[in-house]
Amino acid sequence: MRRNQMKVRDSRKGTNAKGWIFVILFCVLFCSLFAVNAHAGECENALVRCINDPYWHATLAGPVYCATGYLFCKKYVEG
Amino acid sequence: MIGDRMRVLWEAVFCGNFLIFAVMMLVVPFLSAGGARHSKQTLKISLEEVLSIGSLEDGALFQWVGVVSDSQKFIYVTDAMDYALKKFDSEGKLVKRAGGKGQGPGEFSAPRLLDCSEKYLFVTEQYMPVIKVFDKDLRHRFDIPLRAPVGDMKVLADDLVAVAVLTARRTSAVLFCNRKGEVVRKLEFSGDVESVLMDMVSLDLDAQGNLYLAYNFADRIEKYSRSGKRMWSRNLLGIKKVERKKVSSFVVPTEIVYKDIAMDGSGNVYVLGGELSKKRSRDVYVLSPDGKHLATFTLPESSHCIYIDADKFLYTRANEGITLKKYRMVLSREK
Repeated sequence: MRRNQMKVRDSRKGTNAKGWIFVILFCVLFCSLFAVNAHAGECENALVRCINDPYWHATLAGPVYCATGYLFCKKYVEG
Repeated sequence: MIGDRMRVLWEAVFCGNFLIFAVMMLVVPFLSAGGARHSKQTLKISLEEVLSIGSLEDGALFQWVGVVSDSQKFIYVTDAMDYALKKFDSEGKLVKRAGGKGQGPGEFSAPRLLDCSEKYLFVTEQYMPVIKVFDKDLRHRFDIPLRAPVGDMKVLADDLVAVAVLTARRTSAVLFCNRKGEVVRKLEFSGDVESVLMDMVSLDLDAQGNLYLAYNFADRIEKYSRSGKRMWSRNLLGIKKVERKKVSSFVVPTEIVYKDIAMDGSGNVYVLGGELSKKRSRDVYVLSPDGKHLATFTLPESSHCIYIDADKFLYTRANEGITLKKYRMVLSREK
């Protein structure tokens, strides 16, 4: 009886350990995916901020300069 | 009875062979096509590092953007984070620094692209429609006023520069400007003008004046003759359309296909792939002057640009812009 209880406890321990491994693996994968995508959309966000900036908003050529910045960002920061 | 068995056996063998035959008929053309593709691309390029400028310790460079080397083997670099133009000797030792943050003569607000002629160095500003011109001792000489900010630039002579500019009109043209900023020649190309930035290109010219374009947001590399005739057009990645996104009131492309284009002294064309390449921002495609894909090689680290000097040394970025690497390109033929 006691031996059976020990076996059950051991198997539970094994299940728990496997569960933790899966949790850790999931966390690692999630974090690494997040790191890969951390840059994604950075240039688009910067472009929105530039277009809405009162300084560039006031000038006719403002969007053109924002586009230049976007191109540079795409070349330098992303990719 | 025996005849029936023989017939079954015959059918089984025949059907089996037929299946094998059919599979082979399907597979062989693919194998041979692969072989043909392989035999086409026989050139192999490997890189040997010969010089490294800048590290986290020495602070020689903070975020370099443009690089050029002159006939005296000096290396010039624009440093965006240091608002400076820097001159290094052939050993990588900092010889001189010029610039500083500001909008006065010889100062920078956002120094970017760099190229040189026999006498001068030409530096673009991101937020100003101007090219700042310095002599080789980094003394500011004059400015070339332009109508729009520069997307890419190639210096052809002391008083002639080719620029791809960004305009709201989307003219899809490379402008050849003199030192006063007057357009002396204009070469129109077939850009997609559906949305903003789709006609942005990286450019280079060969000794005969032929123009090579790598589209930043389209899978297209093109060669134009001096007279403006399109000589060839290539797409290397098989991408039909890049993703676009509405940002504020504009629709902009979100995937950069090709980042930069450079030529070596032999007329070969080197194109740096962007985020859609197999090794993003590291794959470099090599094309012959007639547009034949010769080889693809991979940079050790991602880069925003490539530059090839007169001695065919390749310069690229490392450590996200803190380091400039110079490589010898070793060409070999694959058996």
